[in-house]
Amino acid sequence: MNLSIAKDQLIHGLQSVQNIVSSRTTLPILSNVLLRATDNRLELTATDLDVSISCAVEANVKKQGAITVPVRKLFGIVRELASPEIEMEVDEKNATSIRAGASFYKILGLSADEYPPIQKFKESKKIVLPQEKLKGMLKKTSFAISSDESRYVLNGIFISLKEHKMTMVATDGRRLALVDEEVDIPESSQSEFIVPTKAVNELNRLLTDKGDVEIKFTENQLALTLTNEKGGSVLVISKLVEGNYPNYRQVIPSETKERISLPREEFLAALRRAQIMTSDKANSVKLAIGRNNLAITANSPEVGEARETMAIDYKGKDMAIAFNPAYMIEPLSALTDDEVFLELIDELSPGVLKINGPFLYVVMPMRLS
Amino acid sequence: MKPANRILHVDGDSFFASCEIALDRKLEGRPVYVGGGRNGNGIVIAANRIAKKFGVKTGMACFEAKNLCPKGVLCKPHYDEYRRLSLDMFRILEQYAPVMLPTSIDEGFLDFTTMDQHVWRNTTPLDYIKGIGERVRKEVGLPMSGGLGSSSWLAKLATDAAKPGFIEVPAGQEEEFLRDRPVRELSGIAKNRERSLAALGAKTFGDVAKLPSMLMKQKFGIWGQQLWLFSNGRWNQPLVLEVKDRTTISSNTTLPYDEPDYEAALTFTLSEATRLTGQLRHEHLQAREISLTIRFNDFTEVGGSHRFQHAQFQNSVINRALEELFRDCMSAAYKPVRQIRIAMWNLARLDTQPTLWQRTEEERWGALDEATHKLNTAFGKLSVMTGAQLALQKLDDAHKTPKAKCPFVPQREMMEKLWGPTGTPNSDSAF
Repeated sequence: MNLSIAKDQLIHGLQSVQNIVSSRTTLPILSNVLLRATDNRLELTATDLDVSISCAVEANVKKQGAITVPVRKLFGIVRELASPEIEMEVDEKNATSIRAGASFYKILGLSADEYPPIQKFKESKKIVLPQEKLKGMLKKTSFAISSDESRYVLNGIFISLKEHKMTMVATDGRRLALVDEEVDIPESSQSEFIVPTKAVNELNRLLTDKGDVEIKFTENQLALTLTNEKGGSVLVISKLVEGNYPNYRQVIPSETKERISLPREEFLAALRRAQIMTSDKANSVKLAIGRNNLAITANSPEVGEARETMAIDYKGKDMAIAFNPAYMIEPLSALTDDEVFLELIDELSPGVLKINGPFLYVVMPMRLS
Repeated sequence: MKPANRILHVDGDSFFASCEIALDRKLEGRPVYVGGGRNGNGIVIAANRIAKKFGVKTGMACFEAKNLCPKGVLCKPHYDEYRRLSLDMFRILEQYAPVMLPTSIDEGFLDFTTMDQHVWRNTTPLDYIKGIGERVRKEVGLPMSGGLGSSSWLAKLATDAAKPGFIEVPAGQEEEFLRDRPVRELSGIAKNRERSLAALGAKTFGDVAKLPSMLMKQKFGIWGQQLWLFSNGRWNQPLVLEVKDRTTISSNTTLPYDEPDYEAALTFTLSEATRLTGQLRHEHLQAREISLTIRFNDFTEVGGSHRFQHAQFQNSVINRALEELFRDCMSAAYKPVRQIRIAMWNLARLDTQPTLWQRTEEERWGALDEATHKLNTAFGKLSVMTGAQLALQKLDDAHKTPKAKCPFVPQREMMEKLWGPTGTPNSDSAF
């Protein structure tokens, strides 16, 4: 392999893939990045065997070939190089020489043949949608993913592709975020699957506001191709979480009694302040809703107490309900709307947070014994 | 200027032995020692000052004590009485200070900061605290020692120096008081730290004071810096009332007789585990690791431990694992069982809050525990019990149930007795 490449291009490629490489890997070769040079392209691939990321960047390839190089070392060197042009050459001992201006480095690597092969997708179901849309949907749901490993089906985002609608759901059992958007879904591509947290995190990082994303999937795998207008592309391949996602429809209250309109930023800021006065043992804030008034209180015996009042437009009956403040702060931070709506039934039934848009958030109140 | 902290440390003198004298006045003036163990004649767990004069020491066998002091009175322990007397003692002490921190059955700290402005105007601090000691001696019948200093560390050292009696280390004289005291007297300095300090040439607090504070910080971290300040008489720490979170829960019970029947020993184990698990859930906790140790009548031990994949809180799960551990380690055993020890640690919080889906096991067990607790409070202990507990009760109809007896009362229990359960999570008081 012999090529020259712009520093920016190489950094972009490495940044896209290196995050998936963990510092402790099961196989030594997994701490390496696979570099494959083909016609005027350098393809960089990293994997942890669950999620693989591949990124193709422009390069001036003089001799095709492939090699694997320790990704942290390579990235460390490239990032600090002074010259904007980099020459890379691999010898028969799997050593990669890097030449840039007055700098010369040689990194020992492993043969590309030993790198675990990336799954090829045969004919499969697929949909295409703008990256911006997917990014927005992930942002509005991913915070609600469960981190409890004993309930592994909840360790990811459930995606349903049915009847021109793409629905995403995430829940940890005590709150649930749902968003659905119109997407062109071919009849043959209707499906449901669970995307694991790790892949979701990578997508949150890689998705941009421009270009499209093509999603292909099989029974147990998912491949997303992110293309930008310059023709560069990133491929993310992930295993899917096996198992049945709980029936999320049954927890969405069909009818609520009271509807409170709240200014999102003001409400969020008040909650954030009140949260400071909660502790491990007393991790709830109480919302006391009265006529045109909302009082947020927090009280933990060993820390202190907080009280925030807000003028609101409300004519319904008085109500007091307690929530885990984090369960309110997270969705409010993920949203961008000026106004949100909190719908309640009573102090023991789930509350629903809505916006003027395809978003729904159900949260269980805390019981005050 | 902020007034100097005045912390009093009090400590009952030969507490268990003094309690026995308080319970039976005829013993006054005689050498008295209390025997521990199953029959109250195992090892000496406390001896009064007169008995100590004869060479009777805590930890020696009772027959040795008898040889040394033939006229001494051997008392069997009455732990419940000791607890009652201890509570009486704290009830009196509580009247004297805004903050009291009991640390064990016979020991505690009181905050006397700012007393000098009003209370001590017409008296000296020393006379004042002697007065408190006198009142406890009169009303409860227990002799006490105490030390007054600028921090709890210093007060405790002062008590050790005072025994029997009271000492005040006046503000400004801390350094002088500490100068020639060996560092190992401070609680928190055991072999390792003593050795590390000795390596720096520091045997007394005076030596520590002369070391550079940077060196102390490098060697021992924050604690090193605190020790340096302390040795220089500049450690001025207010008394803070706090109960640390539980990290482990355990029980260690000697059976009333050596039990040759392993099934009976298992029943006891499971019943005891049920009690522990209940207590754990009561504190909104669950355990990930458990261990079981069985001691035989010849003092040999077998045991094992188990780590669950996730923290557990259900009797059925924990008891099943314990039963397996029991059968495992008893498979080759043939000697009668003397003592059973169960410990649970690696604790995690138990979330009993409701979820969006159907009720979780956590929530259901929380509700069950609450109901059981209510019934047992209303109708007496063990009105409602589990199968394991019932089996044990049936088994024990012939002989009395071995009581969980622990001469050491944890701080948490002391505080609960005095002021009721505090800081129960999600209680109404939070709002």
